[in-house]
Amino acid sequence: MSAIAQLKPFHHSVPEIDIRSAVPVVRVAELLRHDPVLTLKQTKEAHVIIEEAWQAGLAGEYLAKAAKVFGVSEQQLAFAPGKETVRYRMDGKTPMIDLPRVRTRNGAKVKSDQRSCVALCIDDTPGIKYSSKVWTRVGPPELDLGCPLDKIRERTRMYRRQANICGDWFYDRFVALTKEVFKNNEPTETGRLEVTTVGLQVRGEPDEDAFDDWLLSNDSPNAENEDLFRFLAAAADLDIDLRDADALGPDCEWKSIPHTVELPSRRSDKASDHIDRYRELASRQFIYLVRKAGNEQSVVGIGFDDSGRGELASDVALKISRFMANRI
Amino acid sequence: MPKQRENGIRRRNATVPPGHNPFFTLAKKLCIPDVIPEVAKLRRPVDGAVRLALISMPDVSYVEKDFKWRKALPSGVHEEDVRRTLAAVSHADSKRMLVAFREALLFAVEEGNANIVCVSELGLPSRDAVPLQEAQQIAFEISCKHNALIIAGSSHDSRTMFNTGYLFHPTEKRATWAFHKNASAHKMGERIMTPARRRVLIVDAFDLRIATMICLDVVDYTTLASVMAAGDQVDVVLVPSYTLRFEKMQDVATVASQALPGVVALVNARLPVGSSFIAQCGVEIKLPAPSVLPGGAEVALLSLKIDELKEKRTQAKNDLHPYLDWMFGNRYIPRDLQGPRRF
Repeated sequence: MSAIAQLKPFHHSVPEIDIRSAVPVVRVAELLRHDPVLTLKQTKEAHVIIEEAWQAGLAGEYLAKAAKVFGVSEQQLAFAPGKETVRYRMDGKTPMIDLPRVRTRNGAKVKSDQRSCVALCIDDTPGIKYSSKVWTRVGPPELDLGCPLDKIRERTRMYRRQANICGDWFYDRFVALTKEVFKNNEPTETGRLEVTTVGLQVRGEPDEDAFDDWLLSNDSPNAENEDLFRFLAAAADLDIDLRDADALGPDCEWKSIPHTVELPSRRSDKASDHIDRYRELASRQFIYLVRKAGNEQSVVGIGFDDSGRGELASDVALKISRFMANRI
Repeated sequence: MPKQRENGIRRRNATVPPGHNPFFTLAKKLCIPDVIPEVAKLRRPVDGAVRLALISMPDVSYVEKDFKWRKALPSGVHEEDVRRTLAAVSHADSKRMLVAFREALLFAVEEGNANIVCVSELGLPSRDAVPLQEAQQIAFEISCKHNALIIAGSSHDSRTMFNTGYLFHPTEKRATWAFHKNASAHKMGERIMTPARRRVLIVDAFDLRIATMICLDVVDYTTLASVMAAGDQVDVVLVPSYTLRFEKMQDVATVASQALPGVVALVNARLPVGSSFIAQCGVEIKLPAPSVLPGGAEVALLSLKIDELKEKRTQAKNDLHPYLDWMFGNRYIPRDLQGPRRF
């Protein structure tokens, strides 16, 4: 280690990080395993049916349902401009049917952004039994400044309620509309996944080590960090100490996953204007508590988002959701 | 005939060490992935396919130009330790290189309609170990005229002692983006300086994130780890090369493409060992037969469907080999943590 490095202050067991706000995102999924496995043709037929229903009134129903659950008027909600159609695309080998994103307009008391989609599994590789998923994600709109830290519980509770109610409604509508297409593919197993991710936004420019040390200690969530467990318990809507293994029960585990973040501007070498023109890519860890109960899983995680765009929590949530959903 | 590349790492029952990979945690911090923001102007092609041209420049007679330390060396420091050797091109050869360079770039964008052009290592025309300004101007003008991203190869530069590559994209005012080789290929006779602050240049173009690094850098764990750490946001790695061990480099490129996962393309100089190679998510992509131009350069053209690449990337992340994921920081398979313990 160089002398310069040695002169840098070392971090205490919990580094001091000035956290200004939190961005929670909730994703819920209904999981179904069909027998026999679905075909590509069926998924395309399902898309046509959903698209036609969307044009014939499903869009209005979806908006009305969301408005009722969000507690706003329908005029205060809008679909993302230019993306009002139901999209069909491949995500890897998986056909996806994406509904348009709906979000609250400026002026609405509640700020929400909701998207529902269906991932239809057609993978018939022997030995692989992935499920189809009906997803609904609710979080703040892009560039939202997030909520105060003492509102994490309230905000995640609100998004969770929205995601669950709207997700259940969409699931029922999807199953009813596509009943004929999938009449010969009985769902043999079902499950449910709920993923809550909280991105913490900071003031100043802490480095990656400080972020990691705040979250982790010796390959474990940092037990000395009271704030970490307070925020996590709030996000999970639990009133127990998450460090208490007995209170959590045996079917719990902790996981971590990194994600890439594009920093707003170079944060070092300020002496050089040339270097300032670059944007640095950095890696940020998120830690998750996974709770299982049969075919249901609840996953709650937290990490730092210093991206400036406030989308990291949403991106990480998607990443861990994909992984967990395929393993229930 | 070269043997068929084997497909990356496939054995799934390999034991994954517990915990995190400490090498990755530290190594990734030694090299910074830097994104050039301005290149976002290069939009996704209407047909959703990006055309890639790999230009293998003809091998010229490089002269090894030695640079000796002029000051008295401290006791115990050998002259060999501080000697630098750069590849220098003669006046006549540099003129020939420039003609071949211009001809190949024009062929790539005019005949091949290439959106992205990558020239081999030491393929940027230079004279007496100084890159030619004229070559850079040609690359910039062609980039602007044809709306192409051009990685114009690299050259040894006696002003910095670096092996420096240049990247050009369409702008109103020429912006020079230089990147340097981080490892010296001393067995090839190269004795360059390497940057004190390592970085990998990443560009946003055609709805893709493209990283570029020079030859041995793709073998260097530190440099590769920094790109892998940003793997969520890197789709393609372009590697201008000048190597006689091209077969070994192909193995590295294949595994790197599997770990990313994405596309890793090697563009070697026009040498008997092979000129270009592409692997996608651990599998070699067969390149069509290259065109050999009168000036001596060889141009291989390939079309990559952007959505298809993204789909394959998603699938490869789902199927990623656990050991490979551990090697590069558990980016796609969440790592198990021990439960928190209060003392």
